[in-house]
Amino acid sequence: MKFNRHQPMPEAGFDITSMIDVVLLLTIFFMMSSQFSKVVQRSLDLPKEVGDAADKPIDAEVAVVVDLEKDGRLSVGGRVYELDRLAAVVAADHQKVAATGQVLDVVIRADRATATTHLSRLVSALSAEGVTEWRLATSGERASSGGER
Amino acid sequence: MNFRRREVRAIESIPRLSLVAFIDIVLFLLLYLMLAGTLAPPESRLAVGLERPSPATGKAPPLSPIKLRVDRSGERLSYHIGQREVEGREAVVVALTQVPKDGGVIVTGGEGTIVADIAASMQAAKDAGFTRVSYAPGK
Repeated sequence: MKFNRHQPMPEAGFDITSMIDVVLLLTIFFMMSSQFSKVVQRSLDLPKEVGDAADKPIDAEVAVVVDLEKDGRLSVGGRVYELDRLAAVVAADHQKVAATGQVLDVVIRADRATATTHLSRLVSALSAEGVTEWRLATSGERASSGGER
Repeated sequence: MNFRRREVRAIESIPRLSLVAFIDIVLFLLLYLMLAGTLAPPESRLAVGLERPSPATGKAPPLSPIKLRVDRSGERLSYHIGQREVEGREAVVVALTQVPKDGGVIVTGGEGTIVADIAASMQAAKDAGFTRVSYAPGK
């Protein structure tokens, strides 16, 4: 009899199909969520306060996040606006959201070293457009005793 | 004729895609995105209203709000609750805990104050149990 001695033995291995599925799913998830956080958040040194106990997360559908930098520069979604233009944009969003029976959630992310005059100018301009409720973003951590320096 | 040998050769000649490099890249991307996602810190928020002049009506005015003013002199912060000066943030929380809260509190910032001072005052009011915190922009 003639045996085929050179026939290779089948390799013992494991099925990596499901692993690739899971890894790709996780990759897509992190890519998407990183993109969102980039849009909403700009690198700012926020006031070191715990914030409201009853704080609710930002619903991107009915929220506008205004970034206020140390020098008073204003931006929404990374785009810089003049104060008047920004107030008009927020007012337009305010009306659009009000038409659906909801209230526009205005979140101000201000650098903690920003002069109060810049914040006052912003909220006064928003108030003139009918936006009188807003939320001030904080870092979520407790400041040192006696307030911030 | 040897058909078998030719068949084996045909199977061997099919190009096969190596998954090793692909898995390396995908795992690298996964690690990078996981770390980048963790670097974005969670934030919190303080709900604030804007002080508005109350409309002139025939009804009796509601309980008047507490006025909390913060001033900065260099590195030193001083707080005023109404006319009373309060030293330190903890003392502000204690003082605000003892007053009626129905009228809410209005926070104002003096000359030279920064956003951190306003946030600290608002946080003190929240810590004292106030749910209605308003901000009055300086003139």
